[in-house]
Amino acid sequence: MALPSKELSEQALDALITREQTRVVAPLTEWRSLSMSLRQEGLIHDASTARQSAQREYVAEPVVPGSGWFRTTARWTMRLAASAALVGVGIVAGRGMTFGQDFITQMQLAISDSTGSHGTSVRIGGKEFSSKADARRTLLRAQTDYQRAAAFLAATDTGPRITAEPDLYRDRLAGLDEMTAASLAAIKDAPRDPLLNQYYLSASAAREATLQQLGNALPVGSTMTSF
Amino acid sequence: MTTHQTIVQRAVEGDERALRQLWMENAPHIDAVVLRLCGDRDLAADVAQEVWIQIFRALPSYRGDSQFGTWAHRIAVNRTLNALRKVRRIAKVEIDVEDDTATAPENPESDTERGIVAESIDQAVRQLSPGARTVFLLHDVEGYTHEEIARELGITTGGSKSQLFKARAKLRRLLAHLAEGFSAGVGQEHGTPI
Repeated sequence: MALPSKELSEQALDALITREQTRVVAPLTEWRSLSMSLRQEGLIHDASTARQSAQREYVAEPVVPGSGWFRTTARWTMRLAASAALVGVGIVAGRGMTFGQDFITQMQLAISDSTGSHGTSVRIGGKEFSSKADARRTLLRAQTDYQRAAAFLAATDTGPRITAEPDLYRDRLAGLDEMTAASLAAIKDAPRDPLLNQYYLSASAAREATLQQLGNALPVGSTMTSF
Repeated sequence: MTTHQTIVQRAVEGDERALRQLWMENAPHIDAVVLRLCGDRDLAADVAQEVWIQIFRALPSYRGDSQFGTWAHRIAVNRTLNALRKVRRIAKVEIDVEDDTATAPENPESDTERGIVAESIDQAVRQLSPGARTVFLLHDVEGYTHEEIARELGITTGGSKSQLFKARAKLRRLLAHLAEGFSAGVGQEHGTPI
């Protein structure tokens, strides 16, 4: 009986190395966190993304059957409905938070406080902010809560799945892209406007949630080839 | 302009879809390189993020002379080595590589006597000293020459060759138990008899 070899041959080692060279792993990073860093670096231009979204569709394979005038009309109707709904939500939210001329004036006063708001206390809608930093912290906390809640609702969506109509999600995405682009353009003119910033962040969070829902709604075996 | 060039161009312009597409297509390979060199998944995850930011930062300098994956691979290796240097892992590698006396004397029987075996080359590589591991991975897996390795690690080509020799010898011992599988035809990509 032959003794077991104490060494692998050079050729066998080379064969293992060849196999190792072609090994792939699941991505170590998530696009969400990577894209945040790229945005901070200024390497993602949202205007560019939004512009291109108007030219291209959210494509999935196989393509869901159905085309022509009805589909096109339905798509634009749903797109407008999505935009209108979001704008409506904003208006209702605005009313609920007593957004009016007084509010805007107070907000402008608070923001234009060039002393850093040390020692200045401004009460808005029953909430008192002692400084800009205090207001920013509150805003950041609210944004984070909103995004987490949106992600949670998307992940635990137990409502009726519209698996036969992923187009609904595509239309919502297109509407959200338009809203994102519009709010981003507005932010360029008024970069410190909290309302516009909130709109932009809300639209971005809703877009991420919708992407997840679109992924869930696609037929089994389909893959999103663009987003 | 080819589709791929168009995607790269759009990525340079900051189009998120194009950037994401490049990432999706290349992350499995690029991240594998990062993971191999780091040897630790948590560290590799942090480094991979830096690597991808660097790749996209350098994108305007990509001229299309080589495949995007090949170009990105070089950046991934450089950036990973830099990151490892930062966490003072490479410092030890450089000492090991330059000063052979720093390494314990090689004993061909030691690994098998201690019963140390590896189930895969990946596992076996982790048992190499940091210097030998880096040189082996760069040369045999990533395709770097000894001159390039010497430049990257700041060592001599002789040191690189010496570490590679030791690494391969140790790997052959650690993976000796796989020889039977090879002789039985398992994993014989080259059809080489063992």
